[in-house]
Amino acid sequence: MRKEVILGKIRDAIVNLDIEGVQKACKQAVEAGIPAYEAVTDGMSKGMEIVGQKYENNEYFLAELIMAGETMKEGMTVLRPYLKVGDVKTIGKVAIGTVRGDLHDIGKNVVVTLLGAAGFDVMDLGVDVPTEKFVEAVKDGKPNIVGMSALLTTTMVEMENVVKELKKAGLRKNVKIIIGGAPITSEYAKKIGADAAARDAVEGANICKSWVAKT
Amino acid sequence: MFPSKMSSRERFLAAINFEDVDHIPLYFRGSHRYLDGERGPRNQFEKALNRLKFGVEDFVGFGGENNYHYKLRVNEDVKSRTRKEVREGERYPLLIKDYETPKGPLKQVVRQTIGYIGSGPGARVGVTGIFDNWTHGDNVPIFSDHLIPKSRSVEYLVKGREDLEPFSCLFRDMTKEELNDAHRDAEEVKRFVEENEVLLATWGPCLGDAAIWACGVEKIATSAFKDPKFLHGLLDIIHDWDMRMIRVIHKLGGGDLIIHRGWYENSYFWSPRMFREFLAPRLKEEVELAHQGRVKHCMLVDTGIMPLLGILKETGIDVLWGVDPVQGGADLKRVKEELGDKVCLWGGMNSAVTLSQGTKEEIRAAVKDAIATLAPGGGFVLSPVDCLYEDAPSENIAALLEAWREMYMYK
Repeated sequence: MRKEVILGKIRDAIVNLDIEGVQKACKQAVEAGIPAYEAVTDGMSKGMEIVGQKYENNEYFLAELIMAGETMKEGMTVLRPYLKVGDVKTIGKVAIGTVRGDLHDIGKNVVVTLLGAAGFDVMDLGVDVPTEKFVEAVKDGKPNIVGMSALLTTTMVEMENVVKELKKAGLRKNVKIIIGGAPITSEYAKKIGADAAARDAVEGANICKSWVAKT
Repeated sequence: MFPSKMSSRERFLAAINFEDVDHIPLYFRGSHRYLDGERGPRNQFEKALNRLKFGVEDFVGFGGENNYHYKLRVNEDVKSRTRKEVREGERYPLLIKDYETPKGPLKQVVRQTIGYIGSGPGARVGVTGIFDNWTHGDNVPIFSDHLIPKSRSVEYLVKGREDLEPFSCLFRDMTKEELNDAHRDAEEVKRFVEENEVLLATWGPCLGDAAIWACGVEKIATSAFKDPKFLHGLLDIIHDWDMRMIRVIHKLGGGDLIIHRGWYENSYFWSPRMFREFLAPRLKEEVELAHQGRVKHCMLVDTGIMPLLGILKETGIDVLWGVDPVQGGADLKRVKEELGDKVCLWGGMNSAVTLSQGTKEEIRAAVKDAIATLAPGGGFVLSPVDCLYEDAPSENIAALLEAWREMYMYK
């Protein structure tokens, strides 16, 4: 079977949220000798891009994004043993987490999936992430972008603390900061000195992509 | 001059029934020191009396707001045991609850997370009592908002089809004695309603919310595609329990309104296809049963409603509570156009952002917009969605009341 056909099957399986389909197509890719990283970038990532577009067009919703992430995960299980270090060129690096005192992570996890599919190297810091850990991640990991999520008005104040501490540490100029979550608005982002607020996971991933495209 | 010729109950019912009101009803969910004093109300009756002093609406109901705890009774032949474990690598203690049911075991594991007091570098570890902390002590309830985040629920109660039959064993009807107690409570509620003329509205079904509590958001989403039979099976169990609850409400006297709590029954967690297939038919049955007892049905869902408007209307709900133009993304004009002839709209402005963080001018503008868009034609209750937050400045609550008193009716 031709390479384009197999990559198309991987892409379509992601779009159609077909776990069995993506596993089968990824196995076919391996058997056909298609490099695993091409199956990721030209198959699965293309599929996730279309999923994102369907979300923006209100054809897909969060449930479909979650299922797409699950489908991609199952495909990666097949391909991972064949991926070599350095195979996949990343377009940027993002450190992302849910702020201190907040355990909610559904939206953040969808962003992680979308960013990974788009080619970012993602440092998922998890939930209930103390300010110091964000600063440490920037100092040690040197990401281009810091992403913060909060669901509660009581925890969103931690985002401002992170921005302040990054400034104090002389690291603010090294990163772009994007924030998201139910109580987050673009006015709040402006107020605390973040670079952008995302209404949802797809918009967040798109903003990050646009930032690295400009650099 | 602010006209106030109707009782609170009359006004609320007039709004629900699309009849003329003397002024637009205003309702606040939750408590705030400005309305309730520093101590807060001791119970729903005290809260209602506090509200009436301000000339705003309130309701009381059988069992109060958290009555799904009140009504949930585990069968006697179900044994359970909870133990606490501290494991290496785990930041928080784990609470492990094992059930033995006649149809097999169930297991639930949660992290007993504690939050922080204060924020910034000086934040201290402690139990703050805010929403995000584990507030159940060493107990693991069957249903709770705190079970939803995966970072807290290490193992959900229902993980697959094998857990459905054991899960169905958990819910039993009230005993004769419990029903007698419930009747006595209900008489107190009905007396209060009669004396103070407030609405009698009881919290009832929690279909989709309960499903999410039981197995988590991700499982719901993936099951809809991978294993719809599992999801139907889970919802059937909960729906049966919800319907039994509605029958109990009827037995206790019914009242004016049954409130379906659907905070998680929004298009973020239930896409329109999922809502139509899994929730709508069951919601319709609830509405029909509520109406059989001459009680109106209110659906509370405060975000992601726009893609669901048509489906919600088809179910026959009488009230949609939670119309939030800020965090909820509600297009007030479209909501009014699509639902406003048949469904009473409750909300119209946001609480966490607009009321808690807005300026006086922003609050006034929100009140004006809500009234101008949602009130014409009747069927509107103004309410900051979804509840009052303690960090809302008192002057903001005052600003809302001032704006409402000035703009009390659509022109």
